[in-house]
Amino acid sequence: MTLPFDPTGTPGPTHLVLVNKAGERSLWPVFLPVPQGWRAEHGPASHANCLRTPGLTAG
Amino acid sequence: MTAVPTAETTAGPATESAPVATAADAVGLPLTAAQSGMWYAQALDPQSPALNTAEYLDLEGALRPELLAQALHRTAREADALCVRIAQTPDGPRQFPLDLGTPGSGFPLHTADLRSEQDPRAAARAWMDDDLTRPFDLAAGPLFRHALLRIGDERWLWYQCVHHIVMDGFGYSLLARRTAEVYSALAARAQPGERPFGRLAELIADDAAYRHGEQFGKDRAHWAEALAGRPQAPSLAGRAELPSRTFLRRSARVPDRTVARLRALADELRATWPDVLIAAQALYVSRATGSSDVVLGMPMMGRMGSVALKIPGMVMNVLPLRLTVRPDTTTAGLTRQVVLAVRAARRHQRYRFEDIRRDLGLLGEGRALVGPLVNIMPFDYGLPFSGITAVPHNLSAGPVDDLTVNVYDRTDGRGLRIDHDANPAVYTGDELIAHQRRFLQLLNRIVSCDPAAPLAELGIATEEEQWRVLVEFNDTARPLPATTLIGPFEEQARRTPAAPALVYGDRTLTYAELNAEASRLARHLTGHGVRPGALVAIALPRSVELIVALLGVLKAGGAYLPLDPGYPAGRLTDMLEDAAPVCVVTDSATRTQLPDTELPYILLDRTDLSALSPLELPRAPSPRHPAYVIYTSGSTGRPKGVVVPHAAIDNRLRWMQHTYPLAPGDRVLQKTPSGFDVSVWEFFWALREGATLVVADPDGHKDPVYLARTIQEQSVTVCHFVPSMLQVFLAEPEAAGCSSLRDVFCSGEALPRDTVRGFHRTLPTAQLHNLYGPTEAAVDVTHHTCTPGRSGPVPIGRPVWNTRLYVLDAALKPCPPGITGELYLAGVQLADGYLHRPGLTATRFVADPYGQGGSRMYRTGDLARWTADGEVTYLGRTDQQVKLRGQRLEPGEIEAHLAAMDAVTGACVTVREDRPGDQRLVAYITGSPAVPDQESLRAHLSTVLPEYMVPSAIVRLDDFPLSPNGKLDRRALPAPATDAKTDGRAPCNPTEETLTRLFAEVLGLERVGTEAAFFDLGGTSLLAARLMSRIRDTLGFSAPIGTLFRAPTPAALADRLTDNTGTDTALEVLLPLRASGEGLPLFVFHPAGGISWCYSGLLPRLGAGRPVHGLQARGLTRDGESLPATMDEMAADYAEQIRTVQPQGPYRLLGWSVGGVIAHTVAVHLQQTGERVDLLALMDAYPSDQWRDLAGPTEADALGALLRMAGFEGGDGLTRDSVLATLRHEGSALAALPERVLNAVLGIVTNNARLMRTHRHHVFEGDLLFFTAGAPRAEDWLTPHAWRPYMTGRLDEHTLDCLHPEMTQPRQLDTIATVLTARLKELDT
Repeated sequence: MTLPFDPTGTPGPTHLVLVNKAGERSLWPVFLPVPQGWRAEHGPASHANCLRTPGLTAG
Repeated sequence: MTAVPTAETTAGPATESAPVATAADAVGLPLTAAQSGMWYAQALDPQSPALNTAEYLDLEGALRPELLAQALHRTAREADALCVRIAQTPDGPRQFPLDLGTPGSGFPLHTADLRSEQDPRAAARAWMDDDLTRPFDLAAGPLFRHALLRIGDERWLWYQCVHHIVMDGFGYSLLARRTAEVYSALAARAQPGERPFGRLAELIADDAAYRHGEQFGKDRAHWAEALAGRPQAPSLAGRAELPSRTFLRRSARVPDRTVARLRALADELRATWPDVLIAAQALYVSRATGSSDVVLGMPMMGRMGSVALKIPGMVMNVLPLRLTVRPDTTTAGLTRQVVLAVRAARRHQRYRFEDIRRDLGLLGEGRALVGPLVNIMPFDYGLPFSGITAVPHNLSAGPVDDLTVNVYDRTDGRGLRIDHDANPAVYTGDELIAHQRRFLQLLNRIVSCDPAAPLAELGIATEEEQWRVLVEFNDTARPLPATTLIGPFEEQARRTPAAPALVYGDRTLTYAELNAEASRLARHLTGHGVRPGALVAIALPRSVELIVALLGVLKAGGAYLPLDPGYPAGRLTDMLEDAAPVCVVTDSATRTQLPDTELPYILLDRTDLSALSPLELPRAPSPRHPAYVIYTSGSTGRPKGVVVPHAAIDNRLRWMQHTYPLAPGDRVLQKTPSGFDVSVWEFFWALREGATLVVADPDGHKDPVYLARTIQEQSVTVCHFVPSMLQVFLAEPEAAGCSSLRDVFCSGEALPRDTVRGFHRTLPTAQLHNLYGPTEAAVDVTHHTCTPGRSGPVPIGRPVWNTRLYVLDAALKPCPPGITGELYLAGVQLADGYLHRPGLTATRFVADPYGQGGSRMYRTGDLARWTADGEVTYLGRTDQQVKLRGQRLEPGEIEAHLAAMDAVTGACVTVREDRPGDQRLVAYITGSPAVPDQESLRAHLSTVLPEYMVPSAIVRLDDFPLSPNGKLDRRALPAPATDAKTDGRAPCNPTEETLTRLFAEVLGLERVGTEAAFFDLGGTSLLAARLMSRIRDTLGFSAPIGTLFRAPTPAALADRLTDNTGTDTALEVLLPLRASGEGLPLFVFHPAGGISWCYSGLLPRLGAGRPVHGLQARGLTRDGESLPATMDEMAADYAEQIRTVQPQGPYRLLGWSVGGVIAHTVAVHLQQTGERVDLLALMDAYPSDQWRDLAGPTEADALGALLRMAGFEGGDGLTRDSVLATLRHEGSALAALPERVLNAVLGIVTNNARLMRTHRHHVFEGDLLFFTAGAPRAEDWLTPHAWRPYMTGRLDEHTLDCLHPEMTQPRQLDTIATVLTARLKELDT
């Protein structure tokens, strides 16, 4: 099945990076509203670009 | 029901066109391509009414029934495509014109007056429903019937039922219109207009012209391109079945408001309402099947630009509509796609659906091309009946493979009607209702939404379903104290210090002792800097020390990281580098297996802790601190560490204790290696509750006998098995003695129902619990207790405490019960994430749109669905991750290691199951010839991967097979080469042997193995029809073609066929070669070896109607059964056997070789008991006096006889091995006989040789039919005239150009059977 958290194969700005109060982060597809308690920290950007943001790279 | 006599038809008007007899009438006309498919479908199941189509028109007004009857008759005669019968001929099925009688004398019109019934309409409906279930006889015709049912003074139902092979929906409208026209003319005493229809011959010529024309090739190319790389068929039920004889129907009216909006939206989008409706269906199917690539089937009238526009006949076609539905697709975008796809399909609508399927290699079961059909019937009849209103109602639109949505637009202001028709083998009535209800709600939402907004906001669940799956099924909230994994153990140790905490071999530790040991170690670890949040690696075999170490690390506040010392050093190094623990707890023996790093190694056997205080430490971890880190396979080549906090695992253990309470005295087996998270509850549950932990030996978990003994000796009450290991365990006889077991838990892989059955049989007093969960959610999140007597997949069950399960579609909308989606988990058991992998964590632990603000959910990658009562069923993976014997592995990780090797350019790893139950991990690689061989590659992998991740076979390919859209086609990867034996064993009974022969014959192959599947060998549906008819003629088994789809190999088919006849009779004295048939049976007698399978070749040649029974020697099936002492004794025995089949004469007997002598003896015996024998036929058999002076047979002679029995010439120097090799090589069923039977055969040969030499013949009263092997032979004295003294009648000799052993070969059997058939026919009359 097609999964909303996987790369779509298209280069467009398909995803966001969300963050909650605890500092946890979540990738999120742009076509859905951002759930309560989360805010967009990065994006819309491509899947790969989202994964390269500072919050999501091993540190 | 009172029948109203139909008015005599008045003499037809002179202009009525009568069918003109032509030369074509005698030979008939071929079928169109459209009809061929239907003919085949009917041949699959001749008694099926599935291809009956029917409708009725509700007529209101002053109808004159006699005029309607006339009109029907006239219209039918004008429509020659309707007035045919279709029969099988040597040139295939053909259609022949059919002379129809007139109403009242032969014309198929039933009339009835139902006005006196209590509910006339219901009575009419019942009559029609019943009539609809009656199949047509294609060969006899007629293929339609009418009824005129009067249900009121001015109310009639005109019912028509037509076999789909001669009519389609558009044809119905032509017929109805013409009937109304003729009726109106007759009512007005006017001449009906001229015959408006084209002729069947034109239709056929047009069809042939199309199929040989240029457009045909263009159309084929179009469909090949349009469907390249298409997904697998998206059935809403997730499975396919053969069409049933009937269908389920659920009807609904689309609410007026929805219809109005639908029409308005269509206008706004510059489309038609059917386009929008198809878009809605595509969205529904996409969400319900989890596929963004949807292929719907669209029935089309198929008459564009052809003569067929004027011909009522079977022309319609089903065409695939391929649509892409992504969550970000809009209603406007999807509708546009539909408009374009329909337009393209119209341009290529004459290319047959069956041809498309064949082009794509989809013939065969379970390989559908399209999902649901959307059948839109926008045309209304608007019938010009004079003075009568006519409202049509469809009763059956034809067979339903899966699901068909019929939509009718009636111009009478009744709006849109939707019939959901379903195959009852695939859908239940409730499922069908649910699909229709959801579809209607979805349609209403689509037409109410902004057409430019993404469809992601639209889910398919109804509001009520959403509430159930999100709230009701997840009602698991349970307030718990804030504790840790270790806290309850310490409390327990204070409560029951003297109770036994663990047993390992001869050692037992009390709670106090264990607690003290662990506290001392904790103090030591604290000295090394271990504190809450710190990580400590533990590398120890299963032992008391292992458990002390686990407790000690937790007491010090740290989280433990289990390292399996059996893992390759490379993997251990990676894990240690990735996790960077504070230190490694191990012992000096294990240390030697570990890689060298900078980390401190604490060797427990070299560390004296006795001076440290045994008191508990003041600094305990909080529930939010990590308790353990367990590594799992990672798809990118690196394993990943899952960090599980105390609160998560504490919830899990508290739920478990509540649900399956442990008490002091309970004994829990610890056998799971510490690297797998099941071990966590094994280690800690018992110790938190005062029970005793029974620790298995380090390798004990792999040994079912050891486990059974340990469970018995230690009175274990609770333990865990991976299902595949449970299966192995249950197969062990000692398992039944494990009666101390009370609760057995399964997890790690799908639990087969068979295993559950085996469990309840073997351990009837124990309970089996199926648990499910990933390491990422603290071991298990669902539970289901298995109950005996259930069937179907074993659910993984309901959520545990404080845990929610979501089954979501591609737009993260909840799937209603029964619909497959991806399983997401939420609640307190979620892990923190992956150690040092924030990116990976953010893609797997994601924002939860259905939970409390800011909460997360974990996406499992597992496919699942809800049952109606709130349990979840596991259905597989969304990705390539596999579980092999309970262990989770990512093919990507193995592929990464292979691809990193020199000369390897590409790698792909998959789990194959080429034989049921035989799962193996197989790798495929591409690369230069310098690629090392399989064994070197495996050796290399085993240095970097644990044993279970090393593929059992590595296959080098020149290129990977690609699907048309350039993706790796996993289904096309070849099975790894196996040795010849496993390609399919030799046939092991006459049915199998016959079937392999018939498969080969029909497929045009030299030889076919018993395990070769018909459709894989190039079988088509028409060949399947031929095969089944050959099987019917040869073996007398009449099975529908569908059987072949379910049992496609000779072995499987033989099983199915012989199941019908009961037991396996292959070696019994009486062998029913063909038990069925009408005529008197032919009895055939075994040659020297005692087995009469050699006569099976006669079966097809004698015609299907005649039963044939073989007589076989005693001693084949039962050891020690004594062999007959004389030929007469044998004959008496056989005569008795014969009488069980045919109690009285006349008898017909045939024998080859020794069998001929036996036949003669039996014939004489029967005559002596007063019976008639009217046929005695011998195949190259000579009376005993011709043999008397010869020496008895040697073993080599006996072996030669065995070979001859299989139809081969013997030879010199035969040995058992060489004979067996010959039989095997030639695919003879005899080769598969067990050693015991072969020995028996050799004994029988010797005994028969003796009987032959000592027998004294008596005289047979009658003629002898004799077949001589006429080729020159060494025994030149043999002559049939030697029988003269032992017979009274005529000797009818037929000489064949062959040697004695060749008599049962096909060419000779042709001659023999021809003679025999002629003689038997004479005798029959």
